[in-house]
Order: sequence, then structure tokens, then C-alpha cells
Amino acid sequence: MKRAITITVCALLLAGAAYADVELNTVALTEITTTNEAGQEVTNRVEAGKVVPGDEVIYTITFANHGTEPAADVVITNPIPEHMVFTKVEESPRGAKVSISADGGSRYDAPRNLTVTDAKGQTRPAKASDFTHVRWTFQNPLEPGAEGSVSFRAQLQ
Amino acid sequence: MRLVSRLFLVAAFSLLAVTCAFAGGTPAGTDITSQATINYTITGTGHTGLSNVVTTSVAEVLDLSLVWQDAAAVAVQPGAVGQALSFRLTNTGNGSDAFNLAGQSTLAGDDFDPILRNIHLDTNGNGRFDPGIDELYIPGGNDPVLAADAFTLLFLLNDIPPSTTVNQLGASTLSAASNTGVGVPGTVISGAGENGLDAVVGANGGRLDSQGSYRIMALSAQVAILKSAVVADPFGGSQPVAGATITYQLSVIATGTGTTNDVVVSDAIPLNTTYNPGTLMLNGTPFTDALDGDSGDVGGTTTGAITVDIGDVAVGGPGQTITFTVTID
Repeated sequence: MKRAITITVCALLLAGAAYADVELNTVALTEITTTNEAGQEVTNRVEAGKVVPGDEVIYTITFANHGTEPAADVVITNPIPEHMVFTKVEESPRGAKVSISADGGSRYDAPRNLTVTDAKGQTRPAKASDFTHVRWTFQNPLEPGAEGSVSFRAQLQ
Repeated sequence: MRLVSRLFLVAAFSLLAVTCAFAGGTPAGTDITSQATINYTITGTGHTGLSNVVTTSVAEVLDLSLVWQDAAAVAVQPGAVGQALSFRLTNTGNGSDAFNLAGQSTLAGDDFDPILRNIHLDTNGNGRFDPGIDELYIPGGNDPVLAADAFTLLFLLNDIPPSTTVNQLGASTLSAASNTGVGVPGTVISGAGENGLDAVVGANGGRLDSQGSYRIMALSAQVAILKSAVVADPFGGSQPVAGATITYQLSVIATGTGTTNDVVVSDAIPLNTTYNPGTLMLNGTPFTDALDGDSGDVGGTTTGAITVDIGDVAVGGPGQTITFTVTID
């Protein structure tokens, strides 16, 4: 009897996994430049456990379709973390369009098309420090077993 | 439903990101979190997924600025004691830190070495050194503690050697260093920061020097005039009666130190008297009364007064004596 229940639970878990389809994982890295014995500068990326104001962090989001069906209309969105200012998009998969929001995620567009309205009601072009979200819109479906990553850089204020 | 509210929270936090600004940087101990969202469709059905939350914590950066505040070299006199130079120490790091201080007055490149006395804190916070009120700094005893972005005034006191001469410059340096740590910028001092956070040595290595200076100025020399009058009446006495002659003598001497330049003495001819022409003299040498090439005149520069330009008067130099006579009407 006990064994039968265990088997049932496992079956349900398997069904759940098949349904969870696209998995997303985020890491935060910083670059450390050191000089090696030959006197050359070597840049390594390490996990950004501790940062200080002025440090740049590279946020890398990996995705993988573990499902059995292609995932269409894929959109990955990442808010610019608090105390951080967006510096640039580091990595974009082929066929993915990058857009930015400067209003908390209501409107996404190319940075040059974004504006913000200040307290006096004046509208001006959005600056990097106004950016609130970065978004990748995939043109092509993500086939079963496909994986990749997107990344952006931001600087701690 | 739960998913929707979490998404909303993520959006709300990101809005805060653009409204918060910290002059000295994000405070030490702040956790920076990031989480990505994915939306997609499978066979026409929409799905939303979230990544893990990645957390990065802000370490304490050790940084400071130290700036000499006096607008120019502080004017002092030879032998003066406890002369203050003002400095402003700012914690430009992102956490609270204490700073140790030291002075150094035997420096190259100046004309004399001030004699280092001590350092005082701006205890009453008025930005000015107040003897007896502003606390004496004791290394390790009352090291100034500053919150991120906070500043304080410090006073570096020196005595001025008596052997100095006018216009000489003497420099003195104040040093401030983070008590948490100094070293090569970027050095991580594990657990040394506020609340046991890691501390990172900032761009200026956690310590700074700032140099101020003193300049010897002449004590503003002063000129004293002693005036005396001698009356000779027509009857061989000294009664101030009509027809009596009064001889005025003005002795001009310099006091203090240095030289007073371009001294011009004027003295009004008293009412009810008449100046006796040709009697205005400097040190016994007569002037013409007219306003002309010599240094004295009567009524020319100032109506009803004698005027003598005696030029520079040096302390210790010979006194200058002006005389003239009047007759009582």
C-alpha cells in the first residue's frame, strides 16, 4: 500500500516537470582584473557576492526549454535592481529584440524613443538612470531542449 | 493570484530604484536583489515563470575627503602660540567610520617650521576654533566618528617660532585615516565594516593628508602723536591772552612692529588764533606755507589746518617733530 502511494506521487511530479517547460535562472557577476606572472592583465568574472558603490554587475539570465513542445512568444523581463543604474545590454540571442522601460514597465521601446515627465510636467528624453526594466522579445519559438542566455550590466550607485 | 502580487512587488521595487539617490553611494549592508520573469505560450496557452532571486550585498567602502578651509595662509606674528588651521573631514564612504588624526609640521618647501602643538575638534560645531571649548584631540581617545556623508571641522594648532621674519611661509599638514583600515584601494577587510560587514578600501586608500600654511605678517604698526603747547605772552609770561604766541609741537612716533607708510599729519589751527606765517617746520627745517613742492602747507590741503606729509615712520627710527606757532587774536 505504502509503495503504491509513492509511485503515484512520483508520477504526479513527472507530470508537473513536463508542464514546467521553460526554466529561468539568474546569476550576478562582477569582473576582476588582475595582472598575471607575465605582466598581462587578466579579467575574470566572479559571483557578485559583495559590491561597493561604483561597481558594475553583470546580470545573466539563462533559459532552457525542458518541455516537449516549442515555447512561442517568449518575453524575458528584468527590472533594473534598486540602487542600480542600467549601463548596457551585454548579450542577446539571435532574433531577440531588446526594449527598455522608463516608467516602471508600462511602456517598452527603444531607449531613444523613451521620455520621462518631471515634477514640473516637463517632458525630456529618458536617461539611463531613468530606466526601470529591460526586456528581450524573442522572434522565434524556443524549441524543446533549446537553451541560451541574455545579460545586462548595471552600476551600483 | 499569488504570482500576480509578486510581480507587482517586483515592479514597485524597481520604481524605487529611480527615485532613491545617495550622495555617498548606496548604504553599506543594503541587499541588491534581481529576479527575471519569462512569459511564453505553449500551444496557445500563456505561461509565466520566475527565475531565482539573486542577492548581492553592498559592502562598506572606506573613503574620506580632507580639505584645508582657510582661504589663504593664516596671518601670524613671530612668537604667536596656538595658531589654528581649519580642516574639513568628510566621510565619503557608505558606512559609519572613525578616523585617527595626526599633524606634521616639519615639511620641506616652506620658509620655517611651525612648532606642532595639538589638534582640536570642533566641539561646539560652529566652524571656528574656540579655545577652552573645542576639545583637545587624543589619538584613540576621541577619534571623530562620522556617519556616511557626514563631516566635521578640525583645528591643527601650531606655535610660531619667534625667529621668523615678515612674509615667511610655514606649512603644516593634517592626516586623517580610517580606523577600519587603510591600504591599496580595493583591499577587502573581511568583517571589519559596520555590523560585521566586509569593508573595502576606497579610491584614496583610506587615508589623506591636507596641507595648510601660515604667513608672518607685520603687526599693524601704529602711529602715536604727542601734542604739546607752550604759551608766551607779550609781557614775558605764559598767560594765554590776546597777542600771546602759542608754539605747538607734534611728536610723531611709531609703535608695534614694522613700518607705517605714508603718514600724513594734519592739525587744525585753533579758533580765535592766527597762524604765524613761515613757522611750520619739520625737525627744525621750515616749509613754505604754500601747497607746493615741499611736504608741508598751511590751509592748502585742508582749509584752516596745517598738513605735513612725513612719509614712512619706522619703529625704533628717529621721531618726527612738527612745530608751528599761532597768535591769540
